[in-house]
Amino acid sequence: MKFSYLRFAPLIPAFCLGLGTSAFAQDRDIVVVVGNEPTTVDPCDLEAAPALVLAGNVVQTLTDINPITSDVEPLLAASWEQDGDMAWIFTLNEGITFSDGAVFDAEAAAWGINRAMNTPEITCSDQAKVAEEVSVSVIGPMTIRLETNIPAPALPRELAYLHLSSPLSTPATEKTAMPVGTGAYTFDEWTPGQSITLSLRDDYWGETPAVENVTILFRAEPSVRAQMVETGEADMAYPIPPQFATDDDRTKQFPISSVFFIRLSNTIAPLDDIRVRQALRMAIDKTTGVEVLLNRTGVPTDNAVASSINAFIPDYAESGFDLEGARALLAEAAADGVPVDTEIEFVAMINQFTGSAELQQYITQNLQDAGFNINLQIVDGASWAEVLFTRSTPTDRPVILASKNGNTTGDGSPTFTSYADMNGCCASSQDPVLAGLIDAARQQADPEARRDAWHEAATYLYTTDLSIVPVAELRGLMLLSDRIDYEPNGQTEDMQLKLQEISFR
Amino acid sequence: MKSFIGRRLASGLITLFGIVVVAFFLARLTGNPALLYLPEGATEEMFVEFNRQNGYDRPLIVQFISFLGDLLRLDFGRSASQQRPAAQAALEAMPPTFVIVAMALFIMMAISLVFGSIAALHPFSRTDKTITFLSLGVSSVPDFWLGLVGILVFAVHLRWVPTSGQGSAAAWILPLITLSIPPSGTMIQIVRGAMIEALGSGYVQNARARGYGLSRLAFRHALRNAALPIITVAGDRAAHLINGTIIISTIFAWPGIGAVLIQAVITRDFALLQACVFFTGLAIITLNLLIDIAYAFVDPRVRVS
Repeated sequence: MKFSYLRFAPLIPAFCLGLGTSAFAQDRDIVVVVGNEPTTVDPCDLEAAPALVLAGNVVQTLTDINPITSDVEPLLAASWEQDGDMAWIFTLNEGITFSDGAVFDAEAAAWGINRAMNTPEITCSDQAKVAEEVSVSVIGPMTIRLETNIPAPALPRELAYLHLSSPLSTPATEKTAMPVGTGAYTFDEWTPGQSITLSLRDDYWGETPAVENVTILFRAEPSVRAQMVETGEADMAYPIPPQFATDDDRTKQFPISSVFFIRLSNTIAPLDDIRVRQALRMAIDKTTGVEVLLNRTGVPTDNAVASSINAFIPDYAESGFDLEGARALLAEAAADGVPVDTEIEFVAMINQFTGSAELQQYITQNLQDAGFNINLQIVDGASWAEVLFTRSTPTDRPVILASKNGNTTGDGSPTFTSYADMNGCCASSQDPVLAGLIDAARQQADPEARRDAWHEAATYLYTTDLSIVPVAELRGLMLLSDRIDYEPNGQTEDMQLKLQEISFR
Repeated sequence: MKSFIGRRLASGLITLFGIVVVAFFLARLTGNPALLYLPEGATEEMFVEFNRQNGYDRPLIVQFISFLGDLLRLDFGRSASQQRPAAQAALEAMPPTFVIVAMALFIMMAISLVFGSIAALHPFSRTDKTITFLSLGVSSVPDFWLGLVGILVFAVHLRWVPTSGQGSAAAWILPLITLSIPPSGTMIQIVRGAMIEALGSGYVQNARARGYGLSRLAFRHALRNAALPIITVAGDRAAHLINGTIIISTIFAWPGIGAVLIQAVITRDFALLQACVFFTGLAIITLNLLIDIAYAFVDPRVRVS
């Protein structure tokens, strides 16, 4: 009888499965797979890093923001009250401990705030979320007083981004790779390039979550993330590309509080002419581009902030796509001597969001059709950031920048202060009127008056200053296994993924 | 022999020095890392403090001289992204890279020696043409594509192996296939060509006339004489395999120097980038040195020259 190796072929899958069974999620442990790895896991850097799985789960904040209503709610602080225009008094919850056993009290809270806000040696990123300089004093065992250098009506909201770490285990003047906080989970291990593991505390002060151990894996390739859920290797994957979204309830589409807009350098010819800026806005067919190219991951918008932000104007609508109108405006400007044929650099970041490259190319084509001389440059994140920061933006040539701004605060301040205020880090506008309107909105303490003030500033930005052209409000796609249930919200992508909200089916 | 190795070693060290110098200056051409590490609303004071802490406020030439001094002690500074010594982060990533590269190299050589020799034993036969066709095919396959298709077929549809990671022995299969199969195609052709030439030489013809079996001739005598071009290309492929770990890091999240290098580039972590470039360069230069030494052992003419 002739010997054939083919008789061993059926053993191959059995061999592989025998080797591979340990990779699959089990019991009340879950595996979450995400695209980006944090660059740092220090508790005072979670604003800048995609370390969402740590925020709220390992380290917590004095206040929290309701993802649905955008209201500020208590977390480590039980209550707060304003003490004059430039100070707030916070009363802390009792009975809270850090996972290393240290007691959370006024001294610990003050230490954490000072570490994040007033320690120049470590340059904390969370610091940027608090607009004011803050000095903190302990005025009782569970009471602290925060004093600011300018009136700070939004301080409780801003403190929802300041994560407090244990004074017992956290170095005061050095960054740490082992965060210790008051959250439901302890940070067990970070294997750079691979994973972070968390485990449930048995002495957590709040309600006990359903999930016990969590492994967060980093997979740069989007298709791999989605396929890991399909094969049972992961319970949650995000973000995933639209082509891997399922039609059942395992795929969750959710707002990510981010808006894709184009920032114009409106002080440099030809963009210093309002007709040219209007023509640029009118030349972009955002409805077709966004609906076709972003599919389920974006909707066209005329606002620079997401619909969950108080600066969002629900009934505001631009004149829309008008190619002939754009051409006419450009011709009119050219007749008046505006150098409309000057090359304009369109700077965009690679992999800014799902479908970003296609949308940027589509916009480039739109602008070229209208008669603009556009040169699209898709660059890496660091090179893009050089253009984003106004201090390093070249001032001798016209640039338009593809920007994605995430704002989970519920308030217009972070977006408008950064991108529209002439003193902001990333604004191209040099309009003092707009800066005055933004400053007035920031000073408003009454919610309705504050919303109206933001609407006034936003309307001026979109119609008169026109240094920002909104394009799309972005959506996220998350894929779940059939073991768990979770409803992502506007905070999931850019602020925190609350593991305690995950339940088993 | 000692002077031969000494010359190769000196040449390798000069090359390594050139690599780290180029890496130092090219990294700094990409811009200031503060833009990545500081948030959008960072103040000017935060930028100044960040640059002071990391030494970026000093003139470039001063930074370079300081770097050279630290290099002598293998001190690359502190990794900004991993918050620990950069040399430690890079060195920890080397063993997984070496292990998978060594395994991929072994698989690649085994495949190419067997199939290249079989093709050479029956030149222009149907077997040779089939092997040539398939080897040209696999050498044309992009490794990135091969990895993704491998996941789709073997992980998603057949469920034989996990999609990615390093959690089990089965997780090694797809990265090994992705790394070793495409270069095997080229190697099969190299082995085939070298073996055909060796099998056509006078001493083989003479031995065949005296009744030696073809298989014994091929694997015991001709293969040894065909070794030089095979070693040359295998060494080159091995260096490519080290670089190829970047692909398997991206697709399969395979730990190793490739993953760390990507992280260092994306995060503008100069210290980590320099450490990765240095140790990867050192590995490749050491490999080349070993190949040169292997030449000398295989072919005495190299030693004499």
